[in-house]
Amino acid sequence: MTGIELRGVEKAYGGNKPVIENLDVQIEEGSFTILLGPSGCGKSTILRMIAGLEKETAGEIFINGIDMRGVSPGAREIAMVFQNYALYPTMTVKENIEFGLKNIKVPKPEREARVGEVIEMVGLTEYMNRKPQHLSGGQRQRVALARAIVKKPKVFLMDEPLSNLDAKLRAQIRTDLIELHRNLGATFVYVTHDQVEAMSMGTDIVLLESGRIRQQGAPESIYSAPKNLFSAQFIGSPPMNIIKAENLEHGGASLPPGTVSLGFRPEKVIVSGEGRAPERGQISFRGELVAREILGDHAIYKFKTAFGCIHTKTMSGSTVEYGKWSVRVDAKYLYYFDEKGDVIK
Amino acid sequence: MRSQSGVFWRTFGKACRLAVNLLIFAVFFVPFYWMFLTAVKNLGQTLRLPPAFWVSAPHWENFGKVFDAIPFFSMLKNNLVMTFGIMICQFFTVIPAAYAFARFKFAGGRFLFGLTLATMMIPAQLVFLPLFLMFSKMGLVNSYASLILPWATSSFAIFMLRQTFKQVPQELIEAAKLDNASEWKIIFKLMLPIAKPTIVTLGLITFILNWNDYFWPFVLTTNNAVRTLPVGITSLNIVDGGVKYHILMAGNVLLVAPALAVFLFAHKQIIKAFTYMGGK
Repeated sequence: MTGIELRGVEKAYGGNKPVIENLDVQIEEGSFTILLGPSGCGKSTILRMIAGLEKETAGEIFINGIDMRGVSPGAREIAMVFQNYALYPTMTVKENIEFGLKNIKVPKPEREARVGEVIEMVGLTEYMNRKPQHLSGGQRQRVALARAIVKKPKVFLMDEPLSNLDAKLRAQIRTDLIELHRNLGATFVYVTHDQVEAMSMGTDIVLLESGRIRQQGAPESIYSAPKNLFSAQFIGSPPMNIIKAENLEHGGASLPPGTVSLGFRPEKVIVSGEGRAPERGQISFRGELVAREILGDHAIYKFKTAFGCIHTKTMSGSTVEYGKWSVRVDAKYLYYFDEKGDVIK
Repeated sequence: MRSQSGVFWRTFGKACRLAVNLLIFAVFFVPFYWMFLTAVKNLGQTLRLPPAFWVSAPHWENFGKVFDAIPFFSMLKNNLVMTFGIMICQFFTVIPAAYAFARFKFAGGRFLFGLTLATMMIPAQLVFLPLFLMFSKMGLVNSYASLILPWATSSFAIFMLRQTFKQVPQELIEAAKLDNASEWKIIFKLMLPIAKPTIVTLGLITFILNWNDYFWPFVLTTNNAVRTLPVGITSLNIVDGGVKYHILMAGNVLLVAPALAVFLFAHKQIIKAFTYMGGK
């Protein structure tokens, strides 16, 4: 069943050109859907329209089948976690969490029980009577989450909630969020520009560029079957290597008709001694290793070749020394793109 | 050698700082000290040259003479009514105006705000005559209304509070909306508590300014029934047979004591409000 549906939604600020035009999105009930894209792609605007904080210029938004036109943010049965947490500075942790329940007049015994349960769940019982300014970034983040959870909403909206945390904490809260989603069974809509967050947490990714959906699907499918150059390069770290086809054709390679560029994932590249002839069904580039990042379990290398830079990623094994090498990739791992940037099957 | 000259310069720097601090202290303290000192001198001592900087036998009876010369307690009452009347009025006019200017977009909003600011630049001496005529036409001269109504709002306070409200991140208000809070709830549970240091400071400034105000009460009152303390104390100046400085200063001590007490009690709060406004 569809949890959230946007039909022909348009958003324009003032009399300007719309930032979002005729957008259709379907978000499955109970999914962990990521709105992913570079800054300015309209992902936050979409989230804010779902929340009712921003009014759509045209189109319709449905939450659990109900038309949200004229429904105030508070009445949409949603909860939102903001980038800067938006905790009420003059209230204690407990007051922050129970504010929403007080406003809908939940009776005191039930309120106390629910608040207590959620505070314990996020592990802030001993900080219950502190003001937000006396909490660390991670603790504030958990208060913001608790404030959302306590309302038992059907939909959680999150606007880059991890971007103010350090890398270690971010990784930890990522797994916390996955766990939370599985436990609550609610629909999560999560906005980020970080493809790692998208891949690691999402069950469904909506990849956006300039207010348009470039691809929607499960993380694995977006990763293994990108529909276009944009999603091929946005997903994956380092991004997919892209080589101009015209350069290759001079080298005598045969490519599908209409190919303008081709790509391959860094992790599919094999590095071998210079001058070694490619095997059947492989293409090979001669190049010089110019940068090396050893990351323990894997390593990332940057080769300079006549066709441009090629990044490779190898899992643990012997470290490649600086010098000249031959990098090869199996033809079955190649993606071909036409002049519009769409993938050729 | 170098370390020795270092010690010298550090000591020299400390000494300079101390000297400057002492000078600043003297500039602020000496007038107060002089007021207290004169208040406990007798007439002969106030006129002596060179003046004495210490009185061994203070004349406390000077304070009693103030009570004999003017209806002190009724004037004190008038002062309290005026000052708190103004503070209460401003509470009800400034907060809604500042909130509206800060958070709502409405036709003419910017123009009205500009107009509000412009009133700060008009000196009181320019408007007191038309205002006096207006009040006298309405028959309000010599009443509490004439003392309170001209200051029932404050463009300075509106401006300061608007800035504070504007600094509250939009996200906070959106979070409150998602928490089902009504506009009133947002004002009372969120915005006012956040703006509390500013509101308290504005209240203190209003108190001190109006407590000591002389010009306006003097213009709009002609009898002692509604005259305030600053006007009454000044009338001590105009007594037959020369100025009795010691009585005048005793009156002044009684006048500034409450304002001084409020300031000493609340100066931390005032500093906090201004650093909050500047810092965040």
